Amino acid sequence: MNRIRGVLSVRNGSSLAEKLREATGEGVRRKAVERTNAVETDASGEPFREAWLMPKRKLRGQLQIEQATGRTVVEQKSRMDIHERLAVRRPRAEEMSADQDWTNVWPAARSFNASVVPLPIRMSYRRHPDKRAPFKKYGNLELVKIPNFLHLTPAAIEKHCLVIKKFMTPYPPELLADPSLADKELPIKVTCSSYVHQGTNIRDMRSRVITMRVNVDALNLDGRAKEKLLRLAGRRYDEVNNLLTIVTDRCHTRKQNLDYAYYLLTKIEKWEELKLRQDDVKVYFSGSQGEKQLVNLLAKTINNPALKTPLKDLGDKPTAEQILQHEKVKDFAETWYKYRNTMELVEPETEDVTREYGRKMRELLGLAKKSAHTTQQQSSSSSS
Amino acid sequence: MLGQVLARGGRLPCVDCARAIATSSADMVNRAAKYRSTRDRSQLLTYDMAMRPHHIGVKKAWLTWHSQNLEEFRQQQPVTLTQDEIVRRFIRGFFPQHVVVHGNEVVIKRRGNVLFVSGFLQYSKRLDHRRIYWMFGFVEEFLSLVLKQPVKLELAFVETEDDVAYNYI
Repeated sequence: MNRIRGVLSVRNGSSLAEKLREATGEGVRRKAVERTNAVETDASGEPFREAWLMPKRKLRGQLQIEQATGRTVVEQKSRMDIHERLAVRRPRAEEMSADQDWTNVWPAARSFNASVVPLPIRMSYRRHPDKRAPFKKYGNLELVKIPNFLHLTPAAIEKHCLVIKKFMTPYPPELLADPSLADKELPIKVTCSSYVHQGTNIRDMRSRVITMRVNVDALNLDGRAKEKLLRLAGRRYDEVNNLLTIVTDRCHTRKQNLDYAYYLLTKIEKWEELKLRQDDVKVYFSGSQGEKQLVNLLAKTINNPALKTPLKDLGDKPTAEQILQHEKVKDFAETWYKYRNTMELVEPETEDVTREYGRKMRELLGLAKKSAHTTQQQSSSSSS
Repeated sequence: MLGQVLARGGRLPCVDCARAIATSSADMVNRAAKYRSTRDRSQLLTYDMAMRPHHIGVKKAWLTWHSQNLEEFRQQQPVTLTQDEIVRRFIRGFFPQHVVVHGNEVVIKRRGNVLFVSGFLQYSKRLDHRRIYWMFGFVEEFLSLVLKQPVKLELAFVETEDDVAYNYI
């Protein structure tokens, strides 16, 4: 007994020693007194609570008992040779330094590899992730499935850009200073799309389509030439932004379609002989029905003493040319032209424009000005 | 079949009555993708097995990745499907000692015209490096010839099947 005590004294720090001591009945009372006294509290008066942690695995003693009683069967694995075991390399990620060049480790697109990526990643669904952590990095198929961007780190992109820099030319500084110069100096914009498929097929019918946009003002055309171009273009011309859009897709290859688009720009057709007044892009005053009627009306108006038309200075019987050459008539013709060719998107038709037209007509015919009273009355009646 | 019919007290089907014989496989909706739990919790479930089919795209991802199902990019869907099956069967048959969970979980990705095969293999006691490198090379070469497009293996090794185990039931 004495000898055992001597051994125990060596292992005073061990809890096992205390348990044995308690088992022999020695020092039990002393221990109890110490425990009651030794309640440590922290600054806020909270007592120190001991944490009792048990290992999750079964302990060796427990396993031995279960084996002896035949409750479990522990299978014996054949152990590998010690040299062979030492030769197995640890995962590469554990040996990596923090300042290594990652672009050399992961140079190109590749599926996730747990032994190479030194990041503490987990990925899976868990109902309570605080109770049980998501699935680990090793052997995680979800991490392998998803596409990763480990090859597209900022460092890799920078490296890539530096390599292809020698193939680049600097962006024109004039264009940087004045972006509107691009429309003027580079009036033709050609657009096409390329399609990449996952598979062995590199063809796609949609990639042959060419869209060409031309700023018509940049072509320096006179009125006749411009009209001819717009006549050929039809609905391909957008009047608002002055762009001509040509889409070609009738040839088999993109090159052929591009050539065809340029050919269409230079296409020549006999058109002026076939042109009628109805084909005009805009409605012109000269040659219109309204012009004839106005000349007839004005000729009658001049001879009417009751009307004070400004055309009285032309004499009693002026010719049609004389009437049309008169300043006031020219002015009216311009108003008429604008009024008939109203562009809804640029300057929409308003009441003011209509009123102005009426005022000029009345002036031309020498009718009395509308009095304020009648105007008011009319506006009130129209509003009601 | 006949016994069942008689046991239920049904009418005896006439010999030339083809309607009585069902040749298509039973679809067993109530049993699909469900695994029987064992008493000693020894049935291994990977994450892919633990998640249900309706969780695809939500909790788990697809086992094959390509753009053939995208709108306006459908060019050769049947070809893709057939290629996938060929690759899976070949991997399963060529690495019988190394596949995990019966080779059901092989991920096939397509990038450009290249077909990448990734997933996990196990060491299975001893791993002969020279042999496995030769096998990898053979698989890449052979499948490239069969499928007429480059095939690359990105299979990673785990020590045992337990490394891919998400749960035991």
